[in-house]
Amino acid sequence: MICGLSGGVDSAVAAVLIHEAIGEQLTCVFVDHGLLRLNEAETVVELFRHHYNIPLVHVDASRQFLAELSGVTDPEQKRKTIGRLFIDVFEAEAKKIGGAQLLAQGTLYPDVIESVSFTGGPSVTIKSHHNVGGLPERMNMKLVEPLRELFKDEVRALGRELGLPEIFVGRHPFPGPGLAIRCPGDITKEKLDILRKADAVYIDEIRKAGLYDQIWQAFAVLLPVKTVGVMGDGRTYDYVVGLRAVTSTDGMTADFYPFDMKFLGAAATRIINEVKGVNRVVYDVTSKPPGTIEWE
Amino acid sequence: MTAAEKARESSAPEASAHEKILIVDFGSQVTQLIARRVREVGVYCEIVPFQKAEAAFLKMRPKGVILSGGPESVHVEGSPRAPELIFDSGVPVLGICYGQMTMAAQLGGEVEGGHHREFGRADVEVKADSCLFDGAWKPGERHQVWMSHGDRITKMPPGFVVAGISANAPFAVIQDEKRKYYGLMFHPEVVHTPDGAKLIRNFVREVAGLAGDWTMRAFREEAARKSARAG
Repeated sequence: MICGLSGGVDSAVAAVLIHEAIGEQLTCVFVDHGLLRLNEAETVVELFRHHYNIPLVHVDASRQFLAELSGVTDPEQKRKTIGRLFIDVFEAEAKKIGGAQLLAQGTLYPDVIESVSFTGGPSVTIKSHHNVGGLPERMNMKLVEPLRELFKDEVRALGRELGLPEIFVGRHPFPGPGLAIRCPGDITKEKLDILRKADAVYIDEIRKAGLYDQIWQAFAVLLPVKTVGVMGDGRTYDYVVGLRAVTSTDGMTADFYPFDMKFLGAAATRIINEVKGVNRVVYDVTSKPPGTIEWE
Repeated sequence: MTAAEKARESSAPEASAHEKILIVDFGSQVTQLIARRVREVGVYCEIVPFQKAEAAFLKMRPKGVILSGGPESVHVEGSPRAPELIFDSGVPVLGICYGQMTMAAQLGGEVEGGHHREFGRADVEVKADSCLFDGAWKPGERHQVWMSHGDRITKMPPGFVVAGISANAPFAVIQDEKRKYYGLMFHPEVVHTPDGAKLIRNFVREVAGLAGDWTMRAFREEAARKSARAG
């Protein structure tokens, strides 16, 4: 059996649960698309290889992803490119492992609940946001979805039950295309590195202020704009970082988090001081609707 | 059936050994919240569209049924109904909003459409003791609830009594405690009904008598056994 890891909670819980049952018969494949948060890949590798001792194939495909994404600015095109490449890379690795008949996925209950349709009779609209869509059919594998009865909060509780660290289990949602959709416009390694550092500082400030668990999702966005600043005795011309934090109970609607201005000021100062390439920080005060949580 | 659905079908977990609640979905935007409230008190439940509720009822053998809200009016021809076999089976039933309307209409009461719409916050005045209110509401008290409905009951089905009223709804809460049928005109599953989770808990644990043994510890052990068989 093989299981694709995304770095997120669902696939990690599915993998640990299955490993508990079938041990060495499980191989995990972690495709690193280079669009992860700071130290995220290292955390996953450390957790699986050393903490759980689960066989893990770590594929660093970041160059390939960044090369294909070069010049792509349309958000939908970014998503499609990442989705297609992900399947290509995953499939190639699955073939190398060979002989796998089962593919495990972290599908959740809300993904499989049938919805009521009044117009065309019963509707069977199983949403397909899977990481590895289309793969089981092409490779003639059967799907195993051990979490398909569970809601997200139950998956988190199960993760704790399985001994996953709290800092991992309680993490805010992170989209599949990763930082690609938090970097509007053209994506480069330079921009991603700046964004990763700014995001890490912002999240660190939120954790230190004890606000992380009150917030549904918080992250930094790197705007495709440079503005003028003055640092020390010199004039700068650097990027703008947008900060986002929202409260929500389900992700369907959301309000911006009403940070204290002192908190925002301190976070902005730290980001500008510690992250080279940034000289201005703004806060997003849009709710959903009319905005979305992510920027792309 | 596509290949993906086939692959899915073959790996679908068997019905869990736990006692279950069936939630019949009439298309409310908040049906999933009912399931969340039921799961939070340690009871396994599944949401099934009304068109498939009869088959699901026979397969799941639930210990209780919750009928969700929905956008339709029971006055519209061809509007959805709960499968009759649910009422014939003797299991406890909780009807919420549209679920209350269709339950009342199906059991011999009368419902009128459209004239007294009530949306948003409202107060319910408690008129009688109810197993649903245990540890939460007492007769004579007023409590905030969240309403969203167009239909209202004008005559209760035989066997029912009023347990709560609101300004626009003389039958905001109705019950037949002998048959364990309850109908709420408001939505107990949303946070804007502050005591709603307690009412759902009472239905699931006290009225239907489920043990509350659906925990992630139990799930872990069962899932491990299932995966072991699959592997």
